[in-house]
Amino acid sequence: MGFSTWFKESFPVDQEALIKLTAEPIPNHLKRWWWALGGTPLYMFVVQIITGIMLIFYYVPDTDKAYDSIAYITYTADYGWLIRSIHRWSSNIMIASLLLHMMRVFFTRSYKPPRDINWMFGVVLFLLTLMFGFTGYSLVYEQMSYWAMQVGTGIAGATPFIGEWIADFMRGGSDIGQNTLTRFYLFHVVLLPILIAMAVGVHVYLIRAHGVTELKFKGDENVEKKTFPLWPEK
Amino acid sequence: MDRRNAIKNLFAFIPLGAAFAGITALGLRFITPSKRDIERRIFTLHLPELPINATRKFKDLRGKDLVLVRTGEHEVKAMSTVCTHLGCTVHWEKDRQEFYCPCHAGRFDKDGNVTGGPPPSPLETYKVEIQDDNVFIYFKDVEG
Repeated sequence: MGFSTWFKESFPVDQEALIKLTAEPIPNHLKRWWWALGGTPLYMFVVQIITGIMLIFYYVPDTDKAYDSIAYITYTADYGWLIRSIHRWSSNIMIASLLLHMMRVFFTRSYKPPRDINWMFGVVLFLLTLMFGFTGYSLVYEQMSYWAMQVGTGIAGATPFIGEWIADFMRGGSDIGQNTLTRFYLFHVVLLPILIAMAVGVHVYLIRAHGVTELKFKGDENVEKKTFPLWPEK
Repeated sequence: MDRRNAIKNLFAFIPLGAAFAGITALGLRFITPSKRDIERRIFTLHLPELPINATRKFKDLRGKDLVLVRTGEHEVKAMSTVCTHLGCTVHWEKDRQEFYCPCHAGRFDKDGNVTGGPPPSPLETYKVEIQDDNVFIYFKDVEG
């Protein structure tokens, strides 16, 4: 039995279906950058996962040691400055591209039914990304982080009726301290990644399920080939 | 795939592959523990060679000066001789059982803590281990 026969038998994934999945024809207008801004935050998210896992190798979620561990990453560990900077700047690019993506969807009225539920998932994704930013900012545990936590939990505390419970839940008590840092760390590296990965899955699935409507711009009238494959030259 | 496309792909994937390999190498370097964090246990001298209150000067693996002081029957201290104030060389004063810096009269006790003068922080100390009259010191490895 040859290797490929053995592999196909032991790993029974339909090759044809897999090729079809990655060879979906993409309408030509998606070659314009402002139509492809949904993929940018997704790509940034992958970068965040990789650099984030690397940062956990040295980060210590302890109120006394958090800042020192980040100083170690930045100044002592080999290429730590690079890994941390990529993580930090990717988060900014992720939020900026999300805003642009939302604007594009809004101004082209792509949020209308039947894509309304996908718009809602997009809003959830945006809020989750902001929560990533807030919790990540707090993990540095310097003065700025401390006061950001103070303000952030204070805003959450202004929610009617359940505000006090939410603020205490976020802080792990009535004051900001070790419990708060532990919780923010948990949110940042465990809970939010799981939630955002699930929401991204639904978001991308809905795009594929609805398909992309073809658009034509000035000068496109004579273009013969209206689509291009997602994965080129197979 | 024809030859034209194969060459096109080659030109696209060689730089991409090189970039990916480079970033992977940087990442591996980042998560590999650095030599500067590794401590080495190194034999220095036999206890009988060093009378009580006598000192012996050494250099550590990175070329920094340190001094060994026998402060008791079974007690040896290893201390950087670089004053934490402005970097002058401190020496052991056996009459007063302290390290003294002649530049600005900084004083440190036998554990390196500041007891007088301008030094802002204790002397850097090295971990010492005495085993069967053999004195070992834990040095940080050469920078790598």
